[in-house]
Amino acid sequence: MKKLLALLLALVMVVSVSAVGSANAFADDVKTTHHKIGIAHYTDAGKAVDAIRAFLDGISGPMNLEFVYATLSTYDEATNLTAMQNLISSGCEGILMSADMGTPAILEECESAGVYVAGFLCDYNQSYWTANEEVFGNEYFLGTVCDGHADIGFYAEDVAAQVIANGYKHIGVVIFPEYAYPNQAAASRVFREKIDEFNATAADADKIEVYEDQVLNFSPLEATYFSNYPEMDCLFSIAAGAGMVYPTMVANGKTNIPLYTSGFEGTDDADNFGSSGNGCFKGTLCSTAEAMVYPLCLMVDKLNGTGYADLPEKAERVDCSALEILSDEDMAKVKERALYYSADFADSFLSGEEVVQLCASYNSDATYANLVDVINHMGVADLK
Amino acid sequence: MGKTIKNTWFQTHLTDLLSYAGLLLCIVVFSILSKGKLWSAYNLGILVQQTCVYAILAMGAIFIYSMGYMDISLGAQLGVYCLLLILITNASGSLVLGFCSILAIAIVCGLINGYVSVKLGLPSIVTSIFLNAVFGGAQMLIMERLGTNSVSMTTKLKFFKQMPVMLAAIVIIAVISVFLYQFTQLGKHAKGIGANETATSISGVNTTKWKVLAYVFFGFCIAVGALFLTARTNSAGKGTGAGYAMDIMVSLLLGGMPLSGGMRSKISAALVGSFTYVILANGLILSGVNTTLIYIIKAIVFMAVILMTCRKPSGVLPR
Amino acid sequence: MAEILLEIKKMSKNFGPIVALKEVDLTVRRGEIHGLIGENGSGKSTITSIAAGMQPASSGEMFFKGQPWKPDSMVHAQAQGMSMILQEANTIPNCTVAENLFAGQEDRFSRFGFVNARKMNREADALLAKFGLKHIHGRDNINNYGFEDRKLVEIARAVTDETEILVVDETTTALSFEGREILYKLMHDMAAKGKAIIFISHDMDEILQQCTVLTVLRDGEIRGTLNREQMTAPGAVSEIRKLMVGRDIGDKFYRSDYDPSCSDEVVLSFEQVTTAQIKDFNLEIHAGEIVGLGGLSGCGMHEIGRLAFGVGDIDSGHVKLRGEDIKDSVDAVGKGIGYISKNRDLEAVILEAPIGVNIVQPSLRDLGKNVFIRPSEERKMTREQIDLLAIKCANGSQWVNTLSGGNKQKVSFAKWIAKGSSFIIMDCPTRGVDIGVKQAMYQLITDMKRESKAILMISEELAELIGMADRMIIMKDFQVAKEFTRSPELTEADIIEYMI
Repeated sequence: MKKLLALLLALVMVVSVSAVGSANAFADDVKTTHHKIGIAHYTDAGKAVDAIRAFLDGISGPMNLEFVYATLSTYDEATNLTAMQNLISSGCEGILMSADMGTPAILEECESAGVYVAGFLCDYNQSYWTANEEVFGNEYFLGTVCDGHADIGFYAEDVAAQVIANGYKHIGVVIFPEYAYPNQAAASRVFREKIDEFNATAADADKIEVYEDQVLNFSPLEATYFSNYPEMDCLFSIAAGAGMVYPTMVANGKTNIPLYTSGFEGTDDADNFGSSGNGCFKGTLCSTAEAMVYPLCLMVDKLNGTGYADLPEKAERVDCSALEILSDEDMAKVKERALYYSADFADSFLSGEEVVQLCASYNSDATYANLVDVINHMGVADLK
Repeated sequence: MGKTIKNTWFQTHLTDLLSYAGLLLCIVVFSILSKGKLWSAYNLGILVQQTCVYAILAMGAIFIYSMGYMDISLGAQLGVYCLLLILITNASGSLVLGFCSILAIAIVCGLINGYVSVKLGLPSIVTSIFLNAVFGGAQMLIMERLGTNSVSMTTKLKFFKQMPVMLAAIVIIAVISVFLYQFTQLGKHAKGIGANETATSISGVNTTKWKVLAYVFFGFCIAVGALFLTARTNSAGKGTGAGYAMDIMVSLLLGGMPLSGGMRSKISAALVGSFTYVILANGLILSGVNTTLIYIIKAIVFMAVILMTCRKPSGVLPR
Repeated sequence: MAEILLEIKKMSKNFGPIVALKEVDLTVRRGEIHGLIGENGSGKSTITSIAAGMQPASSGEMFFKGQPWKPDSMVHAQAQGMSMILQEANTIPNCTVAENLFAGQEDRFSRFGFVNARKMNREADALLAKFGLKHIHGRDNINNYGFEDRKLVEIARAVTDETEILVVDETTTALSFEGREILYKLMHDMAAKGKAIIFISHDMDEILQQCTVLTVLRDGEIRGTLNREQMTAPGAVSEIRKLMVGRDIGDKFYRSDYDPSCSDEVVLSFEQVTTAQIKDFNLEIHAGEIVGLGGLSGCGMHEIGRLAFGVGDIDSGHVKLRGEDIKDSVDAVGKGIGYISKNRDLEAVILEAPIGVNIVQPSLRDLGKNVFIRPSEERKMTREQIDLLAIKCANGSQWVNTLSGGNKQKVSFAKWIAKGSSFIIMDCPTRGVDIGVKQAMYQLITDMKRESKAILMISEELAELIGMADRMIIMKDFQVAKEFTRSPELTEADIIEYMI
């Protein structure tokens, strides 16, 4: 009986593997050339993953691309190298990756295998500051598009403005460690500057107090945080709030404290935003999957042996629009029309044909400047 | 005639055959599904590279698992050794010094791991949980002190990254392991302790000494593994080594190693298991399997192997 | 004649090419205590295990209470009135006695999924009292009880009001004098109520005293059936032995000589040894001397054996081998001491290992002096011992758990013979071993004496002490009660009074 079950399981495996083993090839468009691209993402679940899949599936036909997926780690270099090697081995001509861990070794590997690499939705801070020449100077690295803006000071400013407008007086700030996410610490400083500016002119009674940064070591916020600051009436968690902070607030009955955060997950943070649910979430931020066209177009051009006339000499990291959600209206728009939320390609900012037109190899008029411009018009205001 | 178990040759070797069958099945299935990509020169190279660290660690771990013990501190130890290797080598400019230092630490930790659990009469898993916490904390502290996600070695370990060198390392460690396991007291007593510690001790075997020595050899393997792991990416970070303890346990199971240790333990389990484990991950990607399905398929394979290899304890009669 | 309860017709059983039973016919009637005797491997346990549903027969028929009988499991058989108590321990560790007694029927005591432990314990105590086991309590953890008490718990679990046939398979070897008395009483009570007992034992005296019918088996065939009169007739014992072994083993069962002399060299000495229980114990064992240590199971003789091997805490005094203190078991083995534990399956051999691994285990420290252990030397050592002791096996890589009890015991002897130990402690060396093997063991022990080895033989069987020992020390309450020197006049009756 046991052996039979084991055999059955083995059979199931064979069948399920063979069922997904064949990928469809699109070759109806004469202009485009078929390429196989690896997509290595640091996670394999969540809104962003679904949106990326939907977007890539949607454009794969017109672009004549085949995608192979793998999962990376944000903290282990060897895992990433292994994943990249497996993608190279599976025949990928280029790989887009969204984790900057072990990048120099990965580039070395890709260079020797003749495979190009580009980043997506990742700011490559580690490489940018410690191995710039090795990574950004490497001809096999085509550049990266950040997860929104490398500098999220703009969001801190907007949140500060809301805090002042809403009259919150005691503000907590939560960030991830600076060595991992320097932009969060920077955003915290921008936020404080803005509040200080306000305090300089405000009457004593109106002055706003901002508590010390609470650093989360990639683990949920401790309950004691709320007892340490009993007067807190607003929380700005630049660190991912829906996963790390909100559950603690629920557990301690603190959902009455307004929460501004980043990393929109489309779960609790969508249900309890603004005037819906318990209304705990007041602001959040995320970037959109369509920004992947930046590395993708660069990659396709590279593989086709062409490039933009105005392509910079050295690989760049560029910003893209962020979906900055600060009101019920913003949220309604995102829920209704954003690919990020619906994972429906019909909601995409760009159609497959439009993406084809962005590539220099398929459209001689396409420019790099235009590509960068396109990914910077994918904000809430741009939702159709 | 008691209710004796009739062990024919086939039954005795069934577990061995099945573990090879698992590897063979993986190879055959993925050869077909990957349309031959499994056998490309590049892929064979990366298979060796990816298996190297697992195989070295697994061969060391065999000595521990043979005794019916477990070690979960492996991953954290590996992470710290990688970091120290980089830091010491960067500071002194000598790889030899760096490696000797981590080797010394690894062996001392092996001594502690073995000796403490024996002397305090604690189950080995408890001391390894303790060591895991200590090393995990150390790794965190080092990374926080450095204020970075990842540190790189200034001199590149190109030599240890070459496929022939890695292959040679697997072979050398395998030869040492097989020698220690089959032809010295260490392996024989490790198996004896796993099969029946009391009987082994009554046979006049100094179980404390051999347990500690088994841990020392394990430590040696971790240090060597750390060298090759570092060589792969030339860097290490706060997550280096994470998950390795579990990966090794799964590899050994896939290789047909009984978790209770004893006489059915064998070094080949480490080699077969780590290759199966790596080919499974590699082959699934080569075959273009959806990442979300990969977990499910891995779980199915794992369950199938467990069902095939584990034996049911004799039942108890209700009143 | 009483009604037939169980009838077995032309039952055969094969394990692959090995024939365990050949067309056996057996009839068990109400009121019988039906003994089964035969050497290990003769098929007695095979018959009962088939009747009790542990395994199916290869061919043949069974009728139980007049109906065709084909039990598919032990649980099924037990529900139908066929219960079995095994030689091996069969209690669930780390549970309470009550949980063991009522395993599988917790429903009786549970409400809303919670087991009423108090009620269960109360019923357990009542049940145990019914069997005269007042010293065992339902609420206690089973681990707190020794092997014997656990066995008694198993008996209480196996026997219910519905039980028609109780199979007692070599259970008594685990029991002390008192425990056996409890079991015998239970057997006779059941027989008096018109039920039947199938009783398997190696102990001839026990069989002759308890059974009303005796069936002798050899090589899977029935060689003879004796009724009560035939069993008590003069010369019956040697007749039964002859049926069992297939040849006349004669009188040379034990040592034939009555010469208690030995060397003057003191090999082992206890000097004023005091532990938590033992006070000022003194003993000297000489080269070429067999010292027998006897008494009831709780008298302290097993502890003396362990102390002689360096195991156990000594408060004061010394245990010395040739004048040197014995520190621990590692030291003891190094000094040339061998120890054959009473608890064979757990301490004396590794069941889950090949014969060869077991035999060479104590010698590995010598073979591995220069690190490298030659497999050829291991094989040679194994081969020699298998030949010397005539261990019945295919080869040295056969696992010990596939051997019969007697052959397992031979393996535990072989370990120390191979090691060349000069002083061997044997705790119940012939427990659960059939006559043929027993005789071989006695011959072996005699040979050891001749080779000037010193032997400490601890045994609960007075007959073998009388038959083998040069000097016999009877213990009671952790003290030496009496010392006897080898003599043909010595009888069990002389000794028993010092034990109780």
